Amino acid sequence: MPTIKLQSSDGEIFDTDVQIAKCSGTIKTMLEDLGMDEGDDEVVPLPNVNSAILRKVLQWATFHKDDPIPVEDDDSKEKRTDDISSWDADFLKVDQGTLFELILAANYLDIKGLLDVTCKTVANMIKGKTPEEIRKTFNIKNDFTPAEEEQVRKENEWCEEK
Amino acid sequence: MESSSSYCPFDGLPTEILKMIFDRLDFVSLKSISVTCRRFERLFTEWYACRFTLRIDDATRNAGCDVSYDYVNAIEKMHAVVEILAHSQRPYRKAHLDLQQTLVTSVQKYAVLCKLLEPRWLSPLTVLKLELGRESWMFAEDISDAVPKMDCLLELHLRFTELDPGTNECSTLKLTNASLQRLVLNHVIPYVVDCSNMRKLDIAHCTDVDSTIGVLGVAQKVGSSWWRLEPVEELCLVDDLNSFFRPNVSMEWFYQQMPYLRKLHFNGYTLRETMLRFICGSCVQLEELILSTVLVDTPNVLCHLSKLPRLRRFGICEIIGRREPLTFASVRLPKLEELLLGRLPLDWQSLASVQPISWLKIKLGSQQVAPICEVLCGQFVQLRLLWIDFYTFRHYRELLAELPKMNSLETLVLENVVYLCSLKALPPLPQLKRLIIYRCSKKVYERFHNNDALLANLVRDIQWIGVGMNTSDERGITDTIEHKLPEHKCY
Repeated sequence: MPTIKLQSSDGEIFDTDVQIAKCSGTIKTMLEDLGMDEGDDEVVPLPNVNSAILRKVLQWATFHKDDPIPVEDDDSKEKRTDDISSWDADFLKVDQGTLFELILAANYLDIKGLLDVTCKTVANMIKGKTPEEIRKTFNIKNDFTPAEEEQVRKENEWCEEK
Repeated sequence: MESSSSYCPFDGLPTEILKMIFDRLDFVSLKSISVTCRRFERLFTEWYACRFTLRIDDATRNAGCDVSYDYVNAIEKMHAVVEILAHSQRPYRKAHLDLQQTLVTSVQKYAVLCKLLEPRWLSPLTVLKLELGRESWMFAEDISDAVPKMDCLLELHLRFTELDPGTNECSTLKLTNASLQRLVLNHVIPYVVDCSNMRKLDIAHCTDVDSTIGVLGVAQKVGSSWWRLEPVEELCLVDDLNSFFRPNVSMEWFYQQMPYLRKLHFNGYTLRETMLRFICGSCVQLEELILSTVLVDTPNVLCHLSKLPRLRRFGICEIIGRREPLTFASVRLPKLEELLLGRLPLDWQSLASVQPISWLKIKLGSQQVAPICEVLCGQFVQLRLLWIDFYTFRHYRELLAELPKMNSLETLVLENVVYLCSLKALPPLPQLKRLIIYRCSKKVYERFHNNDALLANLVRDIQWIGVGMNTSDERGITDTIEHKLPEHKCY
C-alpha cells in the first residue's frame, strides 16, 4: 500500500497510508495540486499540528477511512448532536485542551467528519447548562458589567423561538 | 499562553468554528451562551437573533399574586422593555407586541410602541404582530405612518379589542405597503388597505365585515387609495357577528373586487344563500370554498357551486332556514377532490352524481347509516383519506364494517371517539398507512394508547392528537368544519 510521510510541527515523521492521509482535504489538495507523487520520499510538513494531536487525528482517520463523504446539512436549522457513534464518543474522551486542538487540527486539515463530531461534542458540553455553568466548564471570563448582564438576561426573556 | 487556570479554550477558536459549534445548539442553550460574555452575546446578535421572535407581553409571571403587586410588576416590565428597545442591537425579523392586559396604561403602551416603531427596529421585520388591547385606536396613526416604511414586511397582524365601544371601523388606520403578503385583522377594519402584494387576508371578529368594507369601497373616489382587494387570493372570515343584513350592493362590491380569489373560508360565519349565489358568480376562480353556516332559501342551494369550474375542495358545516335535505343531484363539480360535510340534512344518494373524490370528512349524528355506506362503497370507494367525526353517531359498527372494502384508503381519521367500543369495532385494514385518532376521550386514550397491541394488529402507524377533549367540550362540538388539524398531517 502506498504511503507518504507527514511531519508534525515538532518534527516527528508519520509514515501514513495515502488513502488515510487523503481523508484530509488539505493533504489531498497538496498531493494533487503540488504534484507530490505517491512513493516520493518527500515529506509533507504540517506546521499547525503537533505530534500528539496528529497521532490522534490519524487514529481517527484510520478508523473512518471507509466512511462515505458526509453531506452538507441545511444551514438554517438546528443540527443534531445525539448521533455520535460509540467509537467516536470513546475516542473523544479526552481533556478539553486536546478536544479543542483536535477541532483546530480538523479545521486546518479539512477533515469534515472529525470537525463535525468534535463540534458536536463541544455543543453537547454546552447544552442544558446555565450561563454560570457554561462559564465554569470552559473557564469563560465574564466581561459584562452586572448591569449589562442583567440587560442581556432581560432581553433574552423577550426572545422566543417561534 | 496564559496560565491554565485562566485559559479559555474558546479564545483560540476562530469565529467560523465557533459558529459550527453554536449551530448545533438548541434555542435555550444559545440564549444561555449569549449571557456568558460579550463576544458570545455579539455572535448571538449577529447570527442568531434574526431567526427568533421578539415577543413583548404584559402578562405578569406572578399569577396568583394580588392585583396591586401585578400592577407594579407590569409597570416595571414596561420600563424594562423601553430600556431594552432603546439599547438592543439585535436585528429581529419577527416582532410580536402583546399588550392586551388592562394593567398597562395607554401612555405606557405608547412608549413601548413608539420605540418599536423606530426605523431601526422596523426595517428588518418580516412579521409584525400588534395586539394592543384597550384604546388601540389611539395608536392607529402611528401604525399607519410606520407600515409603509417596512420594506421587508410580509405579514402584519393587528388585533384591536372588543372592549372599546363603537364599531371596528377605524378611520385613522390606513395600511399601505408594497411587500406585504398577508394581513390578519382582528376586531379592526382599517379605512384604507392599499397593499399591492396582499395575497392573503384574514379578518376575524368584525361585525358585517363584508358590507362594512363594501360601504367604504362603494363610497371611494376615483384616484384615491382605498381598500385594494384585487390581489387577494385567499380570504378567511372568522366569527363574524353577522347581523343578517339583506345582501346589498356594498357586500356585493366586496366580493366583486376579488376576481382572483382561490380560497375562501368562512369560519363561524353565517352566509345567506343569495350571497353564496353572488360569490359563486363573481369569484369564479375559487378552488377552495369552506362554508360555515348557510341560511338557505331553496333546497337546491348547492347548485350555485356549478359556477365554480375549478373548485377542488368544498366544505359546508350546517344549514339553517329549511329542513329539506341538501342535494348534490344537479351540481357539476368536475375538479372536486375534497369534500367536508358537517352535520347536516343531506340526500346521501345524490352524492352518486358527484365525481369520485380522494378526500372526505364527515360529521355524523343520528343519520341513517345505510345510504352513507352505499356511497362509501360505491362512488367514493377510491377515497384515500376518510375522516369521520363521530359526534353522537350511533351506527358506527355498520360504518366501520364497510371500511375493508375501500381498497385505496391510506389515512383514516377518527374524531371525537368517546366510547371504547367504537375503536374495538374497527376491522383489520391492511390497506391503511395511517390511523389518526383526534380528540378522543381520556378513557379511550388510556385504554388503547399503552396497549398498542390492540390497534397494532389493525394498522401500524397510529397517531394520537388532542386527547381528552371529549364531546362534553361544547367548543369541540360547535367547532366549524374547518380543519383544526395541521393540514400536512392529513395527507
